[in-house]
Amino acid sequence: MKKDYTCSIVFILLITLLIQLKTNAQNNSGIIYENYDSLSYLKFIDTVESQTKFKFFYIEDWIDTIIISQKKSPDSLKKILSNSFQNSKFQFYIDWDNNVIITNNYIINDILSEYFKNRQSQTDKDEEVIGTYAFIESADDKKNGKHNGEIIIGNPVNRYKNTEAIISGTITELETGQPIIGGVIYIKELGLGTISDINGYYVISLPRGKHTILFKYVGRRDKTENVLVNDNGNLDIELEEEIYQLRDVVITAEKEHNVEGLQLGLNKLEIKNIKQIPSSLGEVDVVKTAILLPGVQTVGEGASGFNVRGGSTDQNLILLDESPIFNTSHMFGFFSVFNPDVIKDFKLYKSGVPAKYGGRISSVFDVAVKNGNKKEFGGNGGISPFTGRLTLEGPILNNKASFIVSGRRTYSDWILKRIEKANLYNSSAKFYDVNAKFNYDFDNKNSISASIYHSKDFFQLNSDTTYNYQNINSTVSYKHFFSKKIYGVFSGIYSRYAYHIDHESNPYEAFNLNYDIEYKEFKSVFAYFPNINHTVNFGFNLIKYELNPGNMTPIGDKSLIGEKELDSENSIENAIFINDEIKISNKLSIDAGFRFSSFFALGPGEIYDYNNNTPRTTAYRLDTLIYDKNKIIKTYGGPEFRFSTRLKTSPTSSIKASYNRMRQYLHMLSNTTAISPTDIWKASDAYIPPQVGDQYAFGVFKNFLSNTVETSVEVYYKSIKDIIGYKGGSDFLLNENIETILLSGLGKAYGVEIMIKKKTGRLNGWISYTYSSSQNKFDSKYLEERINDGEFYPSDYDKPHDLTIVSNLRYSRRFSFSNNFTYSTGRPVTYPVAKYIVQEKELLHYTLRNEYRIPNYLRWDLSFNIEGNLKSQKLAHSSWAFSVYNVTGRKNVYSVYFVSNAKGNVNGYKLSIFARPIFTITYNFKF
Amino acid sequence: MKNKILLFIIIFLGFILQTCVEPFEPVIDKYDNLLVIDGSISNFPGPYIVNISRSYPYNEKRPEMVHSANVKIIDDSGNKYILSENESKKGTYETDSNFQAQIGVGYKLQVITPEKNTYESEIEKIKTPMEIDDIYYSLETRYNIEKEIDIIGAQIFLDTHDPENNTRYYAWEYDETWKFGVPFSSPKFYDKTYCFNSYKPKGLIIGTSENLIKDEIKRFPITFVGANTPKLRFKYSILIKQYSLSEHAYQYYKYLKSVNETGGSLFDKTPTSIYGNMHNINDLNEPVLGLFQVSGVSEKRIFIEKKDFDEYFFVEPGFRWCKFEYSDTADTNKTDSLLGFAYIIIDTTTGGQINFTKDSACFDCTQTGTNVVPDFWEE
Repeated sequence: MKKDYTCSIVFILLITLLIQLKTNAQNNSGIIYENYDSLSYLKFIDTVESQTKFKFFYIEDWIDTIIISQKKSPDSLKKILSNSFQNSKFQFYIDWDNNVIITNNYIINDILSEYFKNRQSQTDKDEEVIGTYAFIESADDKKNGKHNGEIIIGNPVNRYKNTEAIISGTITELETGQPIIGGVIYIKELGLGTISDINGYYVISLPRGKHTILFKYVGRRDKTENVLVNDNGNLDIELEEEIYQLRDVVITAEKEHNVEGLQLGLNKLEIKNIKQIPSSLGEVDVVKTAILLPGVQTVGEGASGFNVRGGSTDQNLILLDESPIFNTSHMFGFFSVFNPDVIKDFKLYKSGVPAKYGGRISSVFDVAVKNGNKKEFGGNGGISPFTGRLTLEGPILNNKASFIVSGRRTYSDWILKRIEKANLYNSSAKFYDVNAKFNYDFDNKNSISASIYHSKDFFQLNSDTTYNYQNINSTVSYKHFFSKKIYGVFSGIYSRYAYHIDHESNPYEAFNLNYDIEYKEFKSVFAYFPNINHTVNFGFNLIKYELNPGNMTPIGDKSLIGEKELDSENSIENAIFINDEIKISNKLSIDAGFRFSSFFALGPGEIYDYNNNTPRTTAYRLDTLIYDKNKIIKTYGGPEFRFSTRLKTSPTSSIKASYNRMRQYLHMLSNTTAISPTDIWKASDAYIPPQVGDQYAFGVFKNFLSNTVETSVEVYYKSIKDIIGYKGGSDFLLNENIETILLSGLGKAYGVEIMIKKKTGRLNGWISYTYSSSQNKFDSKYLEERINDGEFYPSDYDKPHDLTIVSNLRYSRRFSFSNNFTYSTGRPVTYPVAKYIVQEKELLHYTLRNEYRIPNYLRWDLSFNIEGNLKSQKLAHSSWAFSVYNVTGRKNVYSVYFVSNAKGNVNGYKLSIFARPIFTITYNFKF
Repeated sequence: MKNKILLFIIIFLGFILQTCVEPFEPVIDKYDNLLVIDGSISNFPGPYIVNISRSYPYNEKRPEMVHSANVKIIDDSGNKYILSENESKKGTYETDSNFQAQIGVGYKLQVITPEKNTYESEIEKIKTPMEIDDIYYSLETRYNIEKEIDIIGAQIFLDTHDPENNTRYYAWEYDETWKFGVPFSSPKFYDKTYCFNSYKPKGLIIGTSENLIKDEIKRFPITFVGANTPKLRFKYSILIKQYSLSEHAYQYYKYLKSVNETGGSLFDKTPTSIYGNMHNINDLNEPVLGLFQVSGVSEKRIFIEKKDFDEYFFVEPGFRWCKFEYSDTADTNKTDSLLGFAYIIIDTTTGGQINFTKDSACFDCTQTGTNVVPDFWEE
């Protein structure tokens, strides 16, 4: 080996060069069409390099004497070279990347195949071969178990088994160790691919032998690994952030996903992209961003919640690290409860909802909290006009355990104190929220994570009544790999939403009122990868609900308020589910899922028997049934089929279809247009059947310009049974006979969503247009139980036309410019159909609901982001975001209302909330 | 809660975000033409009035009254009291002046329209009226959204109770009377220096003790009288009428208020149809608007003296526009021409400069009020 020592240095350099030099592909077939016979070797190389993808690596001194001998044209490069080198001491080697390596008096063996061939044929070349790759190992390669830039997986002894080998591993972010969800694993030669799951985990089964595997994920540098697969094995991949794309808006998932993936109606956004979008109050808001996606509507600016494909706000399953959030907004909807600094991304399933999710009809909005950085300590924070934020994260055990802690708090109460208005002297409106997450990987097979969230809002107007409401959420998950092919995640989930009202302004009527809903869940989800054509998820969950619909207690001795407490409601929901993603051919894949959910309303409780031939009012009660603790009052349940399929019509286009059924056992009662913090949740019971929704969706997907431009057209039809409606003027809070004010009806919605996205490049963003319709119907034998004469009428959030343009222009690494334009039809509103006079006062008469619309909505926002300078030696990296919300100052109508005043006259008004451009500056820092 | 949120949005966010409320008069082409029956009866002496009209389109001003209907009040022993149409106010029907409803007796209203449709209410008893225990006030500061200023004034409260715990549902209406004076008193108009004005807002205020352990209403806010108005300048009086309502009537007014007197935020209830207690006896599904209110009534008056508020008056409230014009020299012609319809001061120290105002409201209080002292007035 000594004789090759100098060579090895050359080779190391060459190998490094090989990795770095990438040329544009022109001709990589290895066939040379021109005749280069008798050309000097150097000339030949120049010509070939300029016309093909081949790159030559050599030491000039060695080969300036060689003359090319080409016997025919076209001929293969291999042939030409072997002919030319025939009588010389030079050898050549052409690698997987079209690099042609010339060696002097020494053969590079293609260890990938030749090694074993050689072993088998028992040739005496063994020693040399081993020597060859021994000396080309770089220190870096060695660490990764690489040989010659190649990863060898499994024991070579098993190389010739007939079965396919299973390769599995985790794809993580290089910088932080966070799992990458939806990373693409792709073997071009085989046309085989898979996608990493929610834990960054992937499994793919491959024929044994040499493969080139491409790992990619948007916003991260592609990574190609050459592997020699001998047997089942592990391949963990870290993807590096693609720095120059840092400020790009990349909308959905990975490039291939749109056409390749089975999902219909899935939108995914990462926080860094969400941060690009101009914000209303200087606060990055995942919910407000979701509203910009096609098929997602809101009833108005500053309204909490959102409506997906014509569903009501309570039909969205909103999860923060798997734990359901019951109140998604702060300050009545002006801010969402998600602190942008700890959010990793969100996924919004509008159709084709995977079987593991259930319990809500319209969508799943799955928000994931970041894992703490496993490699180094860091932090970030910021100040916006309303809030201050601070996040800290770092390793506890290097590469094994990490934490992230974040807090956000308003200083709006401070602002309120500055406003010298009488009614605000003793007023306050503030909120805070805190997130914490801990991750620990015991070993390759076991890991645990715990995530906690707490938010609190406080609101007081003129020291009169105080309101405070809070969310507490926590999730503890344990992940265990049973084998390479199967792993399970076991989670314990807790969520509680509570509000508290204190009314003390009049000591004679001083009281406090409490409401809360508590949710406990145990869930097991297994992922099983039997072979390349199947990915199976299965599991079960068990949920216990405890709802305390309210109690009112007097405060102080003078208070005349009677103590009142409504019975708590207990119930259990459980489900088993399985789905299999089946690859039928390269073109056709299906995802067949099945979920069976059941629900048990439990005692103690008093159930009234109402006369079936009369409207349901307390006057028509026949009997009262009393149930003891934990006795089943009522059972509901049934199968939910979930099905999606994808047919690739070309490498860049596909058509997809899906059907899903969802059952919802927990309902929010709200007879207002927007969610109010004091709306109450109600579980199904003897009177309230679950809502059942069916959705059919169909989509056509086509990508252009090497997948950088994605287009899609999706259509859907949704029908919902047993949606909840209310008799006019009813109150829910502390209502003992809530069943007497509820109505049960039908909902239907349909629409078309068209989207064009450009995901990369200096100018990126999306344009989406949605046409949709959402209608409800409440019919009954009895006039008082009918709405709009029992006919279908537009729901509060029915906005047929919706156009959104989001764009981001990256001017340089430091400056970027974003723009957001939204237009939609005004939401439906009920106008009075007559006036009349009672007691000398002009009054309004309303009949048909939602027959008119408020004026159309149009808004244009801009933002300008400046990154701090790019010096690496700095204490903190800072950035500024300047936003203008509603640039044109258009007075978009938030609501239209009519008031009969004390003089007895009716006047109509329109209210605009953001009636002028709103400038905000947000400062963010990172260390 | 819901109104508070709106208030929060308007004040707090309005300050920061430029929230804006503008008049809006949409054109509403739909129109429901319905019968409206609006009447009431109480233990107070009549005549009791029933107004019968039709609802009218949103973009119109006046209702069409229903003439020549046959209107009766029937008590629970079957006695009928016929109401006759007022000759000068068509569509308004009045009872005979010698009929007075009695506490504890049930009454119903029957209306037969010219089309021969019969409408009736259910029989409802006149509840025993409860005395108003007390009317009092406290000094408070309020923020006025429209004027965007803080206003100091008297918040008026009311206490009442029913020892039997039977009343539970209350409604109030009030009538304000106040004495005021003009800024320029003149011997010529000496009897027109102090006058009286009154104001009676339309609509009822409602309250209930249904959530309380005793049927007691304490410190119930009735109205706020700002010191920026002339009301508290000399003397103010408020008469509050208290009605003991049935639960049904209370619910009716509650819904009516939620539909007609709140609004603007997305947290308001969706407006719905509100019907009272009148039905077409042959077609229960025919919507009829309005209510026949049967209630027990009591009333109480208090006076508020100016002394509590003296320190808050800097300018004569309500007369800020009263200013003098000047004329340099005494011009007898001019003085003569102004006599009788202008208020003139001839300033003799400056050689007869004339200060005058032609605005008679500044020196003649009968322009904006009456100088007839109300019979209940106590000086």
